Amino acid sequence: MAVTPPHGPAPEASTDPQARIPQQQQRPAAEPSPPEPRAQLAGQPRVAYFVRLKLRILRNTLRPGRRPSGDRSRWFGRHSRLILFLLGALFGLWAAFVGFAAFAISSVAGPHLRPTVAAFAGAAIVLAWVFVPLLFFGVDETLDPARFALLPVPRRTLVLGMLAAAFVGVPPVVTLLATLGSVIGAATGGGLAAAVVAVLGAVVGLCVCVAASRAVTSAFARMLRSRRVRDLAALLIALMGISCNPVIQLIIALVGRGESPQATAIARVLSWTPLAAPYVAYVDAIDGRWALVAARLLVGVAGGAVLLWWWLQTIESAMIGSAAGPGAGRRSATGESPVRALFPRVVRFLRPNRFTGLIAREMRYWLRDPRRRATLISLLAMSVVIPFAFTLGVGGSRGAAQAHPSGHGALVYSLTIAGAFLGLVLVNQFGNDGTAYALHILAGVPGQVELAARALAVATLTFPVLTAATVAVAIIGGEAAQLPAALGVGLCTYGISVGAAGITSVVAAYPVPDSNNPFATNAGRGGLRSLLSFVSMLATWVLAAPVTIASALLPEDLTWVLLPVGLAWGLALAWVGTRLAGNLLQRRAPEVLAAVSPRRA
Amino acid sequence: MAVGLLRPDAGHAYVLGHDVWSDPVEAKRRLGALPDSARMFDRLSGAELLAYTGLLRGLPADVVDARAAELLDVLGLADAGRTLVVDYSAGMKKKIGLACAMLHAPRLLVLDEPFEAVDPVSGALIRDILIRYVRNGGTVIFSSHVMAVVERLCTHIAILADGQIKVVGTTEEVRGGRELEDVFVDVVGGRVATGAELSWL
Repeated sequence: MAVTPPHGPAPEASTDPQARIPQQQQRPAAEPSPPEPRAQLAGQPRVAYFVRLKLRILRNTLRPGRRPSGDRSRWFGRHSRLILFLLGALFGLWAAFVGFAAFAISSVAGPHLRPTVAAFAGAAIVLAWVFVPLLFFGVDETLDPARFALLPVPRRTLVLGMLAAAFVGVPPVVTLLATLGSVIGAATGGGLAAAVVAVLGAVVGLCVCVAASRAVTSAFARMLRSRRVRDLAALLIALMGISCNPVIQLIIALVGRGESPQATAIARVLSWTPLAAPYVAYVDAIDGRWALVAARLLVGVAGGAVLLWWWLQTIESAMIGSAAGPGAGRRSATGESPVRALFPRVVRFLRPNRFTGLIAREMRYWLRDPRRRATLISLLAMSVVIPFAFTLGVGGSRGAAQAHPSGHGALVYSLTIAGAFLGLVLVNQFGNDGTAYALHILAGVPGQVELAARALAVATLTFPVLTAATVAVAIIGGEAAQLPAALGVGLCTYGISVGAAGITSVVAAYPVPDSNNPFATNAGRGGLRSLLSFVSMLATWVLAAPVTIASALLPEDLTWVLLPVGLAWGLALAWVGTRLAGNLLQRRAPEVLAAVSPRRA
Repeated sequence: MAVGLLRPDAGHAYVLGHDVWSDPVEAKRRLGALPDSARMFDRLSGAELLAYTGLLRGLPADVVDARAAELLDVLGLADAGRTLVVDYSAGMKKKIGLACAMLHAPRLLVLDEPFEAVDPVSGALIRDILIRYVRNGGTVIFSSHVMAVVERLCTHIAILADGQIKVVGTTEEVRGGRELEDVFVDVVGGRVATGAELSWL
């Protein structure tokens, strides 16, 4: 007999194969494109096929989804992709407008400021093109080179075609529109010729952006395919993204101060790299130094060419894939007993039973699952960065006169944010487990035990870091007196946030894609996800308000009271939330499982 | 539904006299299940997963240790060491899932496609373990699309199509002297013959 697809016990699961088949059929329908490579003289004409393929796929994904046999035939569900795309396009238009305005304004700025700003802005855009896909949105793998591995397409055509296809989409258009803003400055400053140079610069710059983004992701692709390396990469990129923010602020501060010599020097170097050269060219055109203009545009073109060449080199390995990447290790069998092996070293002292077993497994998961780890690390880093930025930033720039009151408030308030953020990691705790949660139902784990263990596991992992960061901020910022209040408020918000997240996670669990990619998100779920997070964060702040307000009203020498009070209040609400959610979970466990099972629609 | 993962619209499921939905704790204590569609906590190593399952089931730690070590040994998973279950092959995943289902010594095992995508060696091993388990008084219910396996192993057969049990009885009754595959196709109502359709093949 034929191998039938695994039928889940759910009746709707039986629609899966049907739902998936049309998608697979659409591809070949759109793909008669790459024909025999030697039938024509050059690869040039066929590049268009890639663009057409990309457009076709884009159109197909925007089509209303098939009406499933069940009751999920909601209009929004079927059109959600189109709506999201339109929203994305609107947002893109807005971003393009803002970018255009920014470039336009900076291009009519004073002549001594202009090159600096143009260099920084250009470099920022290119760097954003390299890092943003890796950080947030994932890579647009609509045209994954691996899919062309079986087709007889010459590599050069493939690269050019993929490059051409990469220009199709919202981000490239947005970038182009935004960078065209400099045309205004160029036209007013240097007339038509400079404007043409500005347009050329924007186009060359966009090429560099796209080529850089593609080349880097392709180079990463091979590495990212093996799990261990990907975990490592996720970590590195998360850290890099976090460090991006301070760096950008530093740059803004530098540029904002005007002609700080360092900024000008950095800009001068940048404007000779492909990062910024195309965007600076029009400034020289205004000044009439045409040799420089040509040189800068050439630098841009050459940079793009080098990146393309690099991409060409890596694309082959991306096509072959990595059957034997690193990461098959971990075979060293240890002599430990299974139970001991389950418990991470820090909690070895616990007596193994159901509750501590849950804690141990949760901790292992926070550290091992790339998606969870990415979430944890970024939230943790945010909750560390926020107190630092608030306290030191506000206290530092406002000067000594108001440093004390503002700094005091800042530390406490920033901890309300940090605490709430940390609780957020639990908002979709069941979705993170996915169908593996079935084991808990099979074993009949009581809901309250479950939720309490999960909250404790996160607390064990995050509290040391948060406490250390708070203490460090308090001491560095000279706010040691506020430390108890800040800790109290932080613990309080964390507790409340855990309670709120517990309820949200049971009431509104949603599936996350069953993927190894920590950057992958479910299209259409992003909105729901942020809404849920927002709601539970708002609830947290409202409930934490008494303590926060008290911290502002209490006289200086009584704020220590907030440490025990905040702790008690937070614990109490966490307990209430966990109990409520636990009871709910006890009754709704099968529904929660159904909600987190990925629907392959 | 029968093991408590999907809420039924109507009806009851009993495990050795305990209703799965009104008395879940007692029922689940006597029941082990290997759901095919559900993932496992697959970022644990095999040993860790077993330990975790055991603790979740409320077994004492020393019992868990002893049983887990033995199960890993018997199933040939001991030398996988600290490899995560994610990196296991299909056969190894099936075996570790089976081990998880059997760890608390249930009287009834419900297995979904235990032989699907399993290499012959692992398949034979799983079969032997199940046979031994039945000899010691356990009951196994499993689903399969491989008629040969069903014919060889089962004492009772139920054919399920479109959510309804079409035929139920002992293997002999259901077969009625024919090949089980033919009976199945008959009951479910598929067609066997391909005549002229794919003649270009």
